[in-house]
Amino acid sequence: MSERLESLIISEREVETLTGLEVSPIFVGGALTGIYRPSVLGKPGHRFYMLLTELIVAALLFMVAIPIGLFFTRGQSGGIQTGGAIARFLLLTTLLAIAGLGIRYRFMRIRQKRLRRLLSLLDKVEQFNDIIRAIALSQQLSSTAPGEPSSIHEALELTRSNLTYGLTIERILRENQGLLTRQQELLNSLEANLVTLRSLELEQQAITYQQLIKDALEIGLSVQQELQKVAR
Amino acid sequence: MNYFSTVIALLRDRQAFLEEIHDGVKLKSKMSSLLISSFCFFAVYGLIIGSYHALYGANSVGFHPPFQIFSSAIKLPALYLITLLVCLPTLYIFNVLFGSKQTLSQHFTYLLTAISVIAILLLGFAPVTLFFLITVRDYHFFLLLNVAVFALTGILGVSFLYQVMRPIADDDDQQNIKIRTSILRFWLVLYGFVGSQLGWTLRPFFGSPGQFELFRPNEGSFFTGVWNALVNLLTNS
Repeated sequence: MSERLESLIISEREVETLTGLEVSPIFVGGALTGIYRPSVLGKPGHRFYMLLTELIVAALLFMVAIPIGLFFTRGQSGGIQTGGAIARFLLLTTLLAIAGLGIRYRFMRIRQKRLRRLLSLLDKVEQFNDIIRAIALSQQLSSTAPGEPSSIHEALELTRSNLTYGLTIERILRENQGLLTRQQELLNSLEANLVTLRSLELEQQAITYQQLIKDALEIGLSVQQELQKVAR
Repeated sequence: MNYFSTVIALLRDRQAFLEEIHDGVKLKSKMSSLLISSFCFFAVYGLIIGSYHALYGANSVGFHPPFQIFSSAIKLPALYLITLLVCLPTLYIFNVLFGSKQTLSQHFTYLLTAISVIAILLLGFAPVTLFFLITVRDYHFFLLLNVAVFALTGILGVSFLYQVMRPIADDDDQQNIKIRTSILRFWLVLYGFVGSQLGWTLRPFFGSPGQFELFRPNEGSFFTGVWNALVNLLTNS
């Protein structure tokens, strides 16, 4: 990948700086205390990873519930040796673990609701990075190509700044529930970028890049739509 | 799996990993990964030591239900991780009281790092334990072998924790540093004490010959248990 294209990629670290949250392709905020990204369900590898994580979390909760189960089911002698006592212990500990899982899912749902716009923006960032990688790949395949035209680069740069504006606004709104003056300023520059993107789409004649410009414009529009929803 | 790559990062570049904890970089991801990885490593070792009962434990010949295997696979991680949860508030509160600027998450991550080191060391011993499990059919020998393995890995893990968490003289009061070093030493003893008592409460981990028991009655202590095993081994040989 050329240096010019590489500089356009929005890295995980940059996303974390902009959002103030730990972000990975599967979680936002870590495996145990965070939430799953909705895009996880669309990818079989990620689905398996999610299932495995939930199994381990269930085992961890069961493990934490052992002392409570032991306290309530231990007999006079203090041991759990008979079939009945073992069944009572397992039932109580499993119920406690299930209750723990229930609380975890409730917590995740609340956070998912609160972060739904961020989650949508993160998907757009992933989509944008995929576009950059696709361009790099097509350049590698046709080694005679001199590189992407400057208008394409401009379009990608604008889309990138739209996304970073979007992430910044989302964080400001999340951390300060009210409306801030900076939000209007950022929304204005987002709109200016979209106008430029539209004009670039009209100018661009090369069929190879037409679709990419359209994708970039779509990402920009969806960022704008998400943020307008927040502003309302 | 991605969780294990965090442990690999810890093993490969310990200094950078610890600096990241000090700077609070990706703490939540680190905590999750270390907790999940150490749970899995302890569970694997628990599976091995629990196999003793399934192989030789029952008196009758033939198939023995592998209850002890699953029981030990959950109990061994519980021993280490619940001890950590029980002792964490003491360390954190006392450290903060005497000038530590680190958060509860940072304390927890440091402790989890030490626990992960113990877990990975135990996993390293797993083939040796497996070898003796297959070749020696002596309950007391197997018990003492594992007490030695747990003691060795525990001492290494605790010394790692001591190196990592020992307060350093930056802008802190010299008197506070001395107190916090003493707190850490006291806490390590407390951790060992709580751990051995919890281990005694959660026993059996190996499953002595006879019927499967999930938890044994409350009698004696960890130290009397080790002494009895030693006396049994010496008088039988």
